[in-house]
Amino acid sequence: MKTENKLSFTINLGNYSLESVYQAAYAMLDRLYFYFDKKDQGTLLAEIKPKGKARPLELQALKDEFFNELLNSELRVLVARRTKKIREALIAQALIGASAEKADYSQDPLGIAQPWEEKYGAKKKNDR
Amino acid sequence: MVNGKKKLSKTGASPFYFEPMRGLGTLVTNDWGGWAFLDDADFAAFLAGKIAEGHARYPELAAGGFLLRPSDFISCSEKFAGLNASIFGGTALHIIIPTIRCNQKCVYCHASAKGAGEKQFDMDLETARKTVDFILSSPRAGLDIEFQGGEPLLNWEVVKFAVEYAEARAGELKKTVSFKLVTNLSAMDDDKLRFIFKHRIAVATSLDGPAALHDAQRVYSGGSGHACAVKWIKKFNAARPRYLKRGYIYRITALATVTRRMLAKPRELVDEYLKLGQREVYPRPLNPFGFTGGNWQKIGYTAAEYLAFYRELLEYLIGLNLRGVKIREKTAQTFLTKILGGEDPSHMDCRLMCGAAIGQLAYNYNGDIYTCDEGRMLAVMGDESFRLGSVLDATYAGVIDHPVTKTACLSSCLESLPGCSDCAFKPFCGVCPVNSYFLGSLFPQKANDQRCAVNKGVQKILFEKLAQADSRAVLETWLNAEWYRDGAKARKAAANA
Repeated sequence: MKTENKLSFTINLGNYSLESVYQAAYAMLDRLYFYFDKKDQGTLLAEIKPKGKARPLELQALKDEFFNELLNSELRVLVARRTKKIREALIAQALIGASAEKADYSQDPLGIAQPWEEKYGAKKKNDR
Repeated sequence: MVNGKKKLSKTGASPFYFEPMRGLGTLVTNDWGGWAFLDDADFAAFLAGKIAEGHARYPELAAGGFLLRPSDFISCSEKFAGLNASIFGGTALHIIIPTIRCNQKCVYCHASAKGAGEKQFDMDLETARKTVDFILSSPRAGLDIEFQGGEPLLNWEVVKFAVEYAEARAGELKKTVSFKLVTNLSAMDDDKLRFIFKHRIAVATSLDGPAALHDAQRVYSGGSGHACAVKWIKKFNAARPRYLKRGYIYRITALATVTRRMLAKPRELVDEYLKLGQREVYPRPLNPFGFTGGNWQKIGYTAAEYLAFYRELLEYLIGLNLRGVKIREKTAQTFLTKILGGEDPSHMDCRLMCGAAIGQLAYNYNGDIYTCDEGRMLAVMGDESFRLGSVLDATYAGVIDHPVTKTACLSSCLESLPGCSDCAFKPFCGVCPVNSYFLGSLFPQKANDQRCAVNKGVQKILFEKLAQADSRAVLETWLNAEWYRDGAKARKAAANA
């Protein structure tokens, strides 16, 4: 009987966040099917299956590549988390700058600087 | 590999993205356009926050906005705004389709063009007038109108009318309009060429390499499409100096659609362009619309095959430039405008948020409005998902506020796309929501996305070349705006006149 070509392993969630695991898996979706399950509180059970043909050694190499990608992902998640506020502040500043350029106060779009008489006409004598 | 969790510094952390590059260390980039290569030791020092004044890499990383100091805050946010300027500028590009008829039948036709005799697919003058009125109702002062098809010269009456009417109305409304014509040149004649020069219409055509290759890909019942293109490119180039004095600043540009047949011939492609005196080559990978899908088995290729072609083409061009031959590659120039110039090239495919509706709009022959030309191409294939209304009854505000416009923005904002939001190439890249939707998911699944593989691959090749001093020196010259527009010459000529 032909056995299915797949590989199971565990991921220590004390070393890697679930976010990084998903991100690393996402980067390799073109080559692998991923199945995840929780083994216990701190351990994730992972199973990979190649989308094309792959010999056991090649599948092992894909697993190794996944763990390298996991390190990259973990770092990306950490950088994003630790720099979130400054990044948001910088981009918000750029957006504010861009809107301020568009709203030219000297054009006075709401007519704030316009004299009352000019805007609504001079008050007639009979008006109260 | 560095274990980020243990070594990432908590102090002085500046947002950055990274990509390991074989043989070059790690490429680090950021949202304000900074980039640098770091070897393993420097990358570890950078992560640990140990690159301070006195460190050899400090000046470069500080200048690139990687070591944020309070004094950098404003300049970095300004650089971010500059790199993404087109997002704040409103819809500039308006594509009018005077007809979807064409006299050529290209194996890859993305527009699913109709036969040359099917005149029911022509725009009429009243629709053209309403289209121009709609375009000019945009709040933008500077507008670009581009004529595409089909073959727009087959409905010349509408092109001519739209140009003259737009010029007149724009003058009344104190707006400026510039024009571009995308044509295969086979229906060109001297009167049309004079009109083009007189009204300062930029011209772009297709040239898929030498005659045998071009004519095999672009079948023309009237003879050789290559011969027509070459004849009019030569005529255009011969006449252009006369009109330069009158302010016509554009060079005729050409693009080449890369099919499997072309993959082995990057040098022949460049040589053909050189023979005609062209100074720019613009190879474009196939997109999935129109006839391409049905012909994919014959003409398609993998991203890796395209990138091998692109690398050979780029290296050939760099070699030519090093020997004093001036010719550049357009895709490289687009990315480099961001990477080296820190500016937004206003390229719809290369934005933090795709230009669909908020950067461009496309108007079909019958007045239907689409988010972009790709959205219109999809409509010709029977899927109206990206239709925003019609010039007959739509308002400009209604189109911009349309749910489809919002969907296109949401699904193409790199900040929110998995695989894009933390990609090292994000500051310079972009996605096409129509392309993603057509391939199965409005939100692209990056690992399976050929377009992503090509964009990322091209940028990796460019960064690799930027790490080599002689190649970088060549690539830097490709940013010069005078390469395409003879602005300085024209100004000088006008001053002399």
